[in-house]
Amino acid sequence: MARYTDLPTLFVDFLKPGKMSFDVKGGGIDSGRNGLGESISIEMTGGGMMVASYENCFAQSPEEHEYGNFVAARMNGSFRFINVPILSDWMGPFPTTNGIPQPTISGIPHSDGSKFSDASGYSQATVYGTVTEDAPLNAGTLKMQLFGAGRKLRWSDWFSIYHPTKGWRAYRYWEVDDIDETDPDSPIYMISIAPALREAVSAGDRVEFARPRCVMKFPTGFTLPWEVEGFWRSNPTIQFVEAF
Amino acid sequence: MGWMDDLADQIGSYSSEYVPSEVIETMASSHLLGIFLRLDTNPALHIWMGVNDIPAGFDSIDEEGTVYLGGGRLLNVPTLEVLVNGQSDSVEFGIAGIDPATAQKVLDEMPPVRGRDIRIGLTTLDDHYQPTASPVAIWGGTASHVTETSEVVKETENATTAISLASVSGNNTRSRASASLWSSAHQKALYPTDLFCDGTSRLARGVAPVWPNY
Repeated sequence: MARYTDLPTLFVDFLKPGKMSFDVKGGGIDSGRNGLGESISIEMTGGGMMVASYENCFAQSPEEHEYGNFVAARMNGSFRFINVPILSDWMGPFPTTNGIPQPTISGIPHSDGSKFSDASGYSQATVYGTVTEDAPLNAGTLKMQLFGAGRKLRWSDWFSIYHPTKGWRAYRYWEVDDIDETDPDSPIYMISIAPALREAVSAGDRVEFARPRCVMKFPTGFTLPWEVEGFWRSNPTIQFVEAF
Repeated sequence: MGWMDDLADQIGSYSSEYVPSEVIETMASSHLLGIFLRLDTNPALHIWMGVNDIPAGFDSIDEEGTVYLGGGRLLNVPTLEVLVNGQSDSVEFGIAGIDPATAQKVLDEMPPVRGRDIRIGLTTLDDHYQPTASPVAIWGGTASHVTETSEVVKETENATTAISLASVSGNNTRSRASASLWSSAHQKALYPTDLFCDGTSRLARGVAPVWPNY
């Protein structure tokens, strides 16, 4: 049985991708045509699945090559999984400092005001949500309370939920159905999500907006060779599809 | 009379409203379609064409809380034919693109499939991926056997395997033996003096037999 939980997370900052792409891929087919040759479409995947790619990553130092080989060794064959973060740092509902969205705050000291010996502190996400109402498997709507957001949820944002057996799964919303602003700082949203919930959630579950992640594997047929050019430069491209 | 009304209700649910009106209405424009496959093994296999697991079930076959597993884009549903004049093709349902280790595991753990009922149903999903009605059964068949194929791959590609299940529609199973064998030898084995089957070798199709004159 495949394992979706307790997986390592792809260290994407270390890979320094030159380009990235994320998509929820559906599959529609055409049906009957009218006199103009136009047809209605029939979607048959029931909401689609997550696909992602990090292109033109950069590796030169020995450690970077080590890490590239770790990803290839673990993922080749498309049967082991890894958590892939979605770099939505720039567009999420995060508070901004000097116009730059801040998905996480760092430098948080211990309770007595001291920091770690290297002068770094703890870090945590600035924005997170809490599910306020149980939702069953395959639910298309989610009710949650949002804390610490720099703006309202309005068009669409990526977020992820850590499910007990299906692990991290990424979603985004395509409609905000209702906003309950009884508590103006942390409003309760009713959102229509895509894709549908991969596993049931219960009230109190955490919804992650900072670096949402999704359990993914290599697409069938894709392998990651260790390719190195002169002066030990390597620019691998990595593709992922949602793990099932 | 109460029982007549009950009966009328039951008949009604199977005749005029076989496909619920909500489903027909959704199908009139662009929509999400769910195709469900149920194989009556022990335990039963529930799988559908979507990627995500979905709670759904055929009325009065699947119990409450049945979850159909997302076969996703791996599941091939062939052209389905119904039995007409005793003729229909054997069809194969397949799962392609799985790695050989998993394929082997599937084959090892598979319960007996021969002679089991296969049911294909469909329904539409609404904007929030919820089924508009229980799946409507549109095709029934009988499972026969499992086949496994693996194509040759080039050195840098991953090897993948396809598993498929051969099945037939209606009761047109290929495994059934001929119901009777008319030969003189068989008849004589049972009734040594009976000459009834002596002339059967002349009764081939397309031959106009001459009445024997003993």
